[in-house]
Amino acid sequence: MQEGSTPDSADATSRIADSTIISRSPSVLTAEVDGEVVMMSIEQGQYFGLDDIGSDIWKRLDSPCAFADLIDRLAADYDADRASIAADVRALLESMAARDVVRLA
Amino acid sequence: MQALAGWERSGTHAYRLCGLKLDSQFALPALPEWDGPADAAADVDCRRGEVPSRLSRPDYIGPVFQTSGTGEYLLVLPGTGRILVRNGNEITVEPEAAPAPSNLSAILAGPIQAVLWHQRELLPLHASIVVINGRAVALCGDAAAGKSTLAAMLAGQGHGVIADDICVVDMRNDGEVSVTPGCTRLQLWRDALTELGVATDGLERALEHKQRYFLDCGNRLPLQPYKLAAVVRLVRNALPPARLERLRGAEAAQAMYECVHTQRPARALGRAQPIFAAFPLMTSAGVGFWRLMVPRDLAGLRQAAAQLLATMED
Repeated sequence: MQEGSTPDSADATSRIADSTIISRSPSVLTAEVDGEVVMMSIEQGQYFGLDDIGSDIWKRLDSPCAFADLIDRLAADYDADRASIAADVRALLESMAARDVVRLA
Repeated sequence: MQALAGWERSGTHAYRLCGLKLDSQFALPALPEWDGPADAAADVDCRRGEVPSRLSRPDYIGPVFQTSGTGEYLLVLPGTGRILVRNGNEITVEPEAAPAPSNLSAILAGPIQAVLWHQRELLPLHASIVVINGRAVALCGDAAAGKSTLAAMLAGQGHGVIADDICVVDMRNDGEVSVTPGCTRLQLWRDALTELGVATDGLERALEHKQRYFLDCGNRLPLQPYKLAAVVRLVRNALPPARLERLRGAEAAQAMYECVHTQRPARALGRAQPIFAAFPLMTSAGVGFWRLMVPRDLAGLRQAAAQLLATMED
């Protein structure tokens, strides 16, 4: 994961619960450059870059889904324990939400 | 020295605005005089007239400007006046005082020119352009980032300058990214000229009552479009030594976006999406994005110029 500040990974302070619905922001623009997915929220004018894993997560958000479902699908495909996947992905989604490239509901 | 008493001179001045002809009732000393056919029709008209205090159907209302679609932009500057820009070809100015306030010329040549380019669906960067090895290198940065000073130093080493403060990127030909020459004269404060060892005797003043001068750095380059090789964002007052860093991905995109003259009006005029789309096009056309950390002193500036030349001439 890259770009942006890393919010607290402690779940207690996170806005993202298992049932939180994650969706792509309607104002986001995306392009692939230098093998990296680059995105920008039109409203904020802040760019955001995703590495391979981040890009995979972005693709999985092509339709809105609950955080727990997203983590289940990632845990099935990646060789890591569910808790650490959840912590990493939560941190990434927090910083994406801060730049309005994803929305939380 | 050409006196700025030309302000209220009657009649019309004709200027070359990156290949377009601009007829203006206001003297705009930062722009080169029109050197094409005398009877050519104006592409852009800038004249005095009545300007409303608000647009009839604004899409965006900010503290100093409003927009309606891409075609209308209204700037309201207390103490200076109101300026309406329409359809990339019409600038109407209602100054608050007569003679016109002395900052009007800089506003017309800078932010208002940028709005014209956005309306014409071109991409204006806040940059001075130096031609190195036949290719354009855009030196970008905010006011006082040292764009013009670095450009003047490179010009002193034989490289030509084809734009100061604002440059226009043209991507209308598929797969090509070029810049059109604008002003070959740099605007420099006397301190910068002194540092560079240039005497101010005989130089035309860029601002009345201020120690800011024009220095011609064109080095007789032909005024044709040049392929854009690099966008270099200057960071001034960096800790020594000078460093040139290649940017990639989102960092490069952010740097390009921050070089747009200027982001807020561009977004309000609906240009955010085309600007975003410009970045991958520029990358695939071979434009490199860089950050140049420039220390404050002359030695640091020399180092920065040397690093830039070594990389761009490679």
